Amino acid sequence: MFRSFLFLVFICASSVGFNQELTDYVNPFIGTGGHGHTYPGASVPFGMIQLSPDTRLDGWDGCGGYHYSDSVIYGFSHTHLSGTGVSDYGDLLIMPFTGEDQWENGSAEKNQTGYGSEFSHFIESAYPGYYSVHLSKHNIGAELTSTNRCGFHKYAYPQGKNRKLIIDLEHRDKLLDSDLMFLNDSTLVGKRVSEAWATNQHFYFTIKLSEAPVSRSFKKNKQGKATKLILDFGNTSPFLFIKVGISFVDINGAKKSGH
Amino acid sequence: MPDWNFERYKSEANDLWENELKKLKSQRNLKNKKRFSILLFIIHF
Repeated sequence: MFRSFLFLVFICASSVGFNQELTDYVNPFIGTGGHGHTYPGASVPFGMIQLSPDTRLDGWDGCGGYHYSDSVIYGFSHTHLSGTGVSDYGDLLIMPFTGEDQWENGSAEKNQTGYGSEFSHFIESAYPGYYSVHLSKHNIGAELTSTNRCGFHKYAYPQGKNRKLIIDLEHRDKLLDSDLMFLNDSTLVGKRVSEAWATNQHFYFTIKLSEAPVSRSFKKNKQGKATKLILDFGNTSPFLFIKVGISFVDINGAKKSGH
Repeated sequence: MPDWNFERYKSEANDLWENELKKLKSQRNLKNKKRFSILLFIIHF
């Protein structure tokens, strides 16, 4: 009798195990602490996009852009290295925020000002192809997923607050050249040529917004090139969706990636 | 990405990883099935 009962329990337990998806066993945060230099964000197998939060701007343990011991997110960028000993990528940083316009990430003032936000690992989750976090400073819920060549952002803003967004091409690497322009009222294209591990890395992108912004402000460098952009979408809806296609060749390639 | 259905792309990304991981699982499946059958036999009899 006892053996039959044990047999039944074993069958039930094992069938539960078989129904579980293999991705349920994956923890993307493994390797983001210590000297692992990995990132926890959204990607697909052999995908070109690694859409992931950036919590660290420099240093050896900042190679993946994220370190588990950090408590401030500066934004979400679209390319990341995993397990390397030299820093690079972190291309096209996008960060949602509310309140006054902030052009700097706030790292210099220990985040007293700036668009960077504190976050907690208690309200952060990731599994293969997906990442989400609550940005506590702005009370914004951020979700990320990706396809092979396209990143997809979903932001949930607090009711009544103007939904704002900064696009920062000066993030991390030394910026050699840049471009950022509107194709129509809800589509942007641009490029970032930067120097870090790669001395002349070309990155092209197209950004599709789920709605047209009500205002836009560019920040240009001494050469007259746009390096940052703040968009304001008003407060008519709590949500904002963004799709980003990328290419290492040209803007036409980025447009194809975004389709 | 022809539409704005976030949940759809999130699910598709997860499916792509699931399919990759299944390739590893299928290589080990035969060996594990044999072990599992032997274990069941020992427990029941």
